[in-house]
Amino acid sequence: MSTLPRTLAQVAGYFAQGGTSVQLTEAFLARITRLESLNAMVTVTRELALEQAAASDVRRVGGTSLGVFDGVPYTLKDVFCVPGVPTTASSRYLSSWTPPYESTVARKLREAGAVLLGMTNTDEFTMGASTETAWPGVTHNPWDTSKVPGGSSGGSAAAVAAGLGVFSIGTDTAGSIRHPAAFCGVTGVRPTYGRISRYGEIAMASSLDQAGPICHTIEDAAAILTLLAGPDERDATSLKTPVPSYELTGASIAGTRVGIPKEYFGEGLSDGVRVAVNEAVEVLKAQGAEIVEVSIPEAELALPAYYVLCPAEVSSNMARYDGVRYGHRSKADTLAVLNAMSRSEGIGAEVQRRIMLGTHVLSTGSHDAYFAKSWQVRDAVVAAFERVFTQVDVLVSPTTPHTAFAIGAHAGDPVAMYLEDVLVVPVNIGEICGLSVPCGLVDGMPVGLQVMAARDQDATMLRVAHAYQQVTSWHELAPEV
Amino acid sequence: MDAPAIAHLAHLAKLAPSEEQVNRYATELTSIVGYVGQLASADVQAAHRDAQEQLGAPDGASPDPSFSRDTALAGFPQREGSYLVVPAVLGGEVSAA
Repeated sequence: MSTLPRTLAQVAGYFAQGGTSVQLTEAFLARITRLESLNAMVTVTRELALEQAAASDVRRVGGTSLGVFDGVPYTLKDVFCVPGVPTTASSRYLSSWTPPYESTVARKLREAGAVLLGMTNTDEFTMGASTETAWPGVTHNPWDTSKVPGGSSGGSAAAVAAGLGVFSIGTDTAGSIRHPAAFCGVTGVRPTYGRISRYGEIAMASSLDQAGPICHTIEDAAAILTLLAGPDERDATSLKTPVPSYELTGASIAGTRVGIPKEYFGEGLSDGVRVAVNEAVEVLKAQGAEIVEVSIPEAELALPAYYVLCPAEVSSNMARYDGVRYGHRSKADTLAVLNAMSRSEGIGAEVQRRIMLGTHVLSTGSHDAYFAKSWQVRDAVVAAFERVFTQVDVLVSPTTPHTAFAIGAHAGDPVAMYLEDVLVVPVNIGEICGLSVPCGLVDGMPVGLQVMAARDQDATMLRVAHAYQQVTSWHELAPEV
Repeated sequence: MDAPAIAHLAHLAKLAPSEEQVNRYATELTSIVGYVGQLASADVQAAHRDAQEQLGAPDGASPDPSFSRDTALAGFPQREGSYLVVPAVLGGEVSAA
């Protein structure tokens, strides 16, 4: 088990006792090497990390520290462009590509003095819920290496759980932060869409993609959000409204209305997860929260709508990977053959499925029946959440219907894999915010508690989840690796 | 969705699957389209928002000054000077098996 610092506060304590960022970085790098078989990392940026750590130590000694992130080792999901560092989206297509420019997320962390340990594994182009579609192969769940870490940010969640860095930044298009956070027993926050710039983040479905923190505590998640949130002129969809304060005052949640949406507790929910989540609800109730049963039948339509809207956007976003300007290029005598062969060789089966599905739902004969209808459903889900958030302040549910499944369990059955997103995707389609915190173990595997709040009410859900972590210790557990 | 339909979609999507892949995708996409087909019976009347309405700002940012033209060109798979090299543009349509 890792004895390295797990939180920003612990790192601050480590530095206060005379530890250096170089020592800490070397220790994390050694651990990354020792746990290489987890396959959580696609690229380890050893030299860059040690260089950044040394610079941080000079600042600390000189009294010019950049703040709480200065010298703190972290990882990035392999979709955030970092100049000079391969950013591959875990795809063969980009396996030898190095970005010429820097994502806003990477820039803000660099400017805050954070130390980049490397890039974490993901389902290819973030399409999946297990990291099994990754070109570098599956990441193993550190709680049980025969199981998946969830996805798509499975490398990030596994890395945080295994102590390979203090925190990681993932992305969540249909639950890809919360789902692996639940499977790996860590804290993951998907903020309101547009709050963190997507500039330099490799796109999957641009109307839904959103970056967010994966770490151990809501306290750290709030600090990371505070650093990363804000408008960006290079992302036209980034929110221009003032960033709300994510500061956690420790205020009581007495009187907070916590909604329990009954549709999230229906058929398919495992008994162990149900018990763990119900116990978590009791904890909130004991803290004075008012528990209210609510119904959101429209949420059940979010998943099928997602699997129309996402592939439609994928088919468009993936058109740029044509073998011409960058990435994988096949040998061919004509441009048309070069386009098709480069894509077919460089891009894996799940991504190809979504490209073709998107092409289908956007075609003349199918547009109204699928694409337009799915937008109507999305609007209805948005309206349903707006309605329910007049009755309650937050919603609470399981993050996933079960704990982590065995590697290969859904092989050859894409719909079974898509159903993994059933409890997380309404947040994205409903255009609200959500998070997952650990709330129990079933047969030794972590369970996630999902907390959701209305659009731009991220601070409210953070406050409730923080209150939960103040009186529970599930987030302090670590796997025996 | 049968194999000819998949082959047509693959052509539109600039993909070149093998015959074996076409058959597998036919089975898988039939299953997925069947799943999302439940949307047909959804009783929703909300208006379809225009994607433009969701944009927070005009897409008018100035170019990122942090990297040069040469840096961008370095990513080309094949180049001659500052030109991107591609094979013949005309002819050679690929068709799926």
